[in-house]
Amino acid sequence: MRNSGLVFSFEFKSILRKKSYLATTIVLCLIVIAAVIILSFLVNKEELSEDTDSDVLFTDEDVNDILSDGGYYTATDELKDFSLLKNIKQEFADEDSLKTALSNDEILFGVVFYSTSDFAFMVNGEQNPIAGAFIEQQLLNFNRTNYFEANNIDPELITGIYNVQVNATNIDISQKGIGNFVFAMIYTVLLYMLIILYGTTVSSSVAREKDNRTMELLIANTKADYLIIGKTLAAGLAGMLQILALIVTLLLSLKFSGQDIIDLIGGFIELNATTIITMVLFGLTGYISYLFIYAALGALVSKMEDVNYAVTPVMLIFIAAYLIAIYGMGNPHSLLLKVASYFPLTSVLTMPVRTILLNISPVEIMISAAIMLASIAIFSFLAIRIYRLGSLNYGNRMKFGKTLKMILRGEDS
Amino acid sequence: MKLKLNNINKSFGKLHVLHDVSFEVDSGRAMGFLGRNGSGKTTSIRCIMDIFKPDSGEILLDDQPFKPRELKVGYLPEERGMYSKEPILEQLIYFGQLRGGSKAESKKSAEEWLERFELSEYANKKLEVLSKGNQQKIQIIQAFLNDPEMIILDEPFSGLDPVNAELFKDAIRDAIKKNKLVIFSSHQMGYVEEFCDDITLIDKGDILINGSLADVKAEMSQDKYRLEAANLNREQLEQELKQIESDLNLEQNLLANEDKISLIINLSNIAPNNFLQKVIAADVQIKNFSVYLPTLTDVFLHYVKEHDLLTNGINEQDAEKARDVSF
Repeated sequence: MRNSGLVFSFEFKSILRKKSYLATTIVLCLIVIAAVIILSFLVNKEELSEDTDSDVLFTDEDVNDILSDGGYYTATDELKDFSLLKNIKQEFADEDSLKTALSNDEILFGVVFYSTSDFAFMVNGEQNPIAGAFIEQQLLNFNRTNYFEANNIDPELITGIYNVQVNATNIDISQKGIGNFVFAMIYTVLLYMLIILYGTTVSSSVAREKDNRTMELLIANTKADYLIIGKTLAAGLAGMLQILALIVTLLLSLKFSGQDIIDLIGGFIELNATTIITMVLFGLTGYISYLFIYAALGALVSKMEDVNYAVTPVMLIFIAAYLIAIYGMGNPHSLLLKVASYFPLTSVLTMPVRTILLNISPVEIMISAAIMLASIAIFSFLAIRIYRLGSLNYGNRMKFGKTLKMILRGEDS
Repeated sequence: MKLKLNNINKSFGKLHVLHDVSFEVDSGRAMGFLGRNGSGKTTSIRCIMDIFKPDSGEILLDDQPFKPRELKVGYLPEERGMYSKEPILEQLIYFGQLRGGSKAESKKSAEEWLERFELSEYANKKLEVLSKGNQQKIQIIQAFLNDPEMIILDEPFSGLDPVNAELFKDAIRDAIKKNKLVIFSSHQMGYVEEFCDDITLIDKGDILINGSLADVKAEMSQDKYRLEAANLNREQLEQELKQIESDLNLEQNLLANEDKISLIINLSNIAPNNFLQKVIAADVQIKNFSVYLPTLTDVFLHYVKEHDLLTNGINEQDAEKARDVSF
C-alpha cells in the first residue's frame, strides 16, 4: 500500500499545481462572493422599500408633484369639501375648456368629476397612471369618510376589523420545509458538478498516461491496483477540497455581508443526524465509485480524443440520475425517485434528496446503503481489473463488453 | 544472480506470440536480446517485468520465482514515456520511490545521474521543454535510479546522438562492472557486439540461440576460412578453385558472402594446409588466408534465415544446407 500512498501524493500534488485547478477554484469562489453580494444588496433594498412603504405613502410634496400639472372641472357641489382639489393646478368652468387647455398642453392631465363616485381622467397622449390612481383612491376615502360620518360609524373600528389577519400554514408531516428543498438543490448540483468534473479529470489522466506511454513504466514499477486507487483518491480529494473552498467562501461571504448565518441555516433548513449521515455516506461512496468507473473507462482508450466516447455511457446514466433527482425535488413521493434511490448508480443523488426532503425510514436508507456498498465493491473490483487489462492495450479502443468477458474468463490476471 | 526463463508461452487471442521461450542471463554479464521487428522481444521483456502474465512457463531468479517489483529493476521500455508536464527531478524521485527507494535516496540518485548526463540545469523544468534527445536521456536516467540490481533496456540507443550514446555506454559498462544483470535489446548490432558477452536470438517467438557470443561465433566459424587473392577477383578465384580441387565440392562448401573480393569456404573435407598448397600450386597469389570470424550481423542473418526456411516447411537438413549457402 506504500505505493498507493506515493501515487496518491504525486497525483494530488500534480493536480494542485495545475493552473487550471487554481483558476477554476478562484473563479468559482469569486462567483460565490458575487452571488452573495448581489443577494445581500437585493435583500437590503427590499427591506428598505418595505420600511418606506409602511411608514408614509405620500408626502405633501409628493401630492403637489403629482397633481400640480393638472386641471379639473366638477359638475357637482358635493365635492366642495374634497381637499384634494386644492392641490390640482387649475379649475375649469366646463368640460370643453378643460379639454381645450389639455389639447394645448397647458395642463398635463384633466379630471372631470360628474358626481362623488364618477369621474373621468383625461390625458393628451402622455399617460399618467399614478395621478389617476391617486385621485381614485382619494375619492374613495372621501366617500367612505362621508358615509361613516353620516352614519355615526367610527372609522378606526372599521379599519381594525379589516386589518385582522389570519395566518394559515400547510404542513405535510412526511415532508420537510422549503429550506430543505433549496439545500437538496445545492447538494445535488454540487455533487453533480464534482462527479462530472473530477470523473473526466481521472479518465483523462489515465488516458494521457497511455497516450504518452508513461503507463508501461508505472505498471512495471507498481501494481495496477495501487495506481488506480492512488489516482482516484487523489482526484477525489482535490475535488472535495475545491468544494470545501466554495463552502468556506460562502460562509465567510455571508458573515462579512452582515447576514446572520445561524438564522439562515438554522431557520430554514431542517437537518438531523440521519440526513447528514445519508448525505455523507451516499455522496462520498457514490463519488468515489464513479471516479473508479471513469478511471477504468479511461484505460479502455489509447488516445486522449477517444476519452469522451468511452465515458459517454456512464455519463448518460449519471445525467439520468441528476434529472431524476431534480424531478424528485418537485415530486419527492414519486415512484421514480423511490426506485432510483435503490439503484447504485442513481442512489448517489436520489437517496440523499429523498432524505433531505422527506422523513425516510432508516430501514429504507440502510437497504439502499447496503446495495450501494456492495456495488462499490463490485465496481471497484471491475474498475481495477479493467484498468489492469486496458492499461497496456495501445491498439484500438477496447469495447466494454468484450473487456468484461475477458475479465470473467480471467484473461486479465 | 541468474535469471532464467523456462518454456514461456504467451498468446494474444489466437495469436501465439511466444513459443516455449527459454534463456538464461547471469549478473556481471550483459545479454543482447536480438530479433526482428515483431519477433517477441518486447513481449518477452514485458513477461519478465510482470507486465504480461505468461500463459505457461516460469521465470526464476536464482531458482526462485522472480517478482520484479520486489527487486530493484531498472527498466527502459521500448515505448518511452514520462510525464511531459511535471518537473523532471520530481518525477525522477517519484519513479525512484515507486521502485522501492526512499525519497532521500531517490533524490540523491536522480541528482547524481542528472549531473552525469549534464542535465542538472533542467532539474526543475518540465520534461516537455527538453529536446527529444535530452528527453531520451531523462528516460534512461530513470532506468538507472537507485542502483538497480537488474537493468532491462528495450532498444535503448534509438534516438541518441553519438555523444550521448557514449555517455550511455559508460553507464552500461559501469553497471556491468558492478556485477549487475543487464539485458538489452537492440537492432543496432554494433552496440550489442560492443557490450554483450551473451546473446539471445528470438524469431517468430522461438529462441534460436542463447549463449556466449564468442561460442556462437566460434561455432559458426568452425572449419571456415576466408581466402583473398591479389591477382584475381572473387569470381575469378571461384572459377580457379573449381578447376583445382574437385573434392572441395564448392557447390556445397562455398558460402555466400557480401564481400566482392574474398571467398568464405568450408574446409571440413580437406586439411587447410593441403588446400593452401593446391591453391599456391595453381599460381594464385594469396593476399589473405585466415580463419573466418563472423560479425553479429552474419550470426543474426544466418540463424534467422535458417528459421525462416524451417518455418516455411523445409526440413531441418535442407534448411541447414540452404543456410550455409546463403550466409
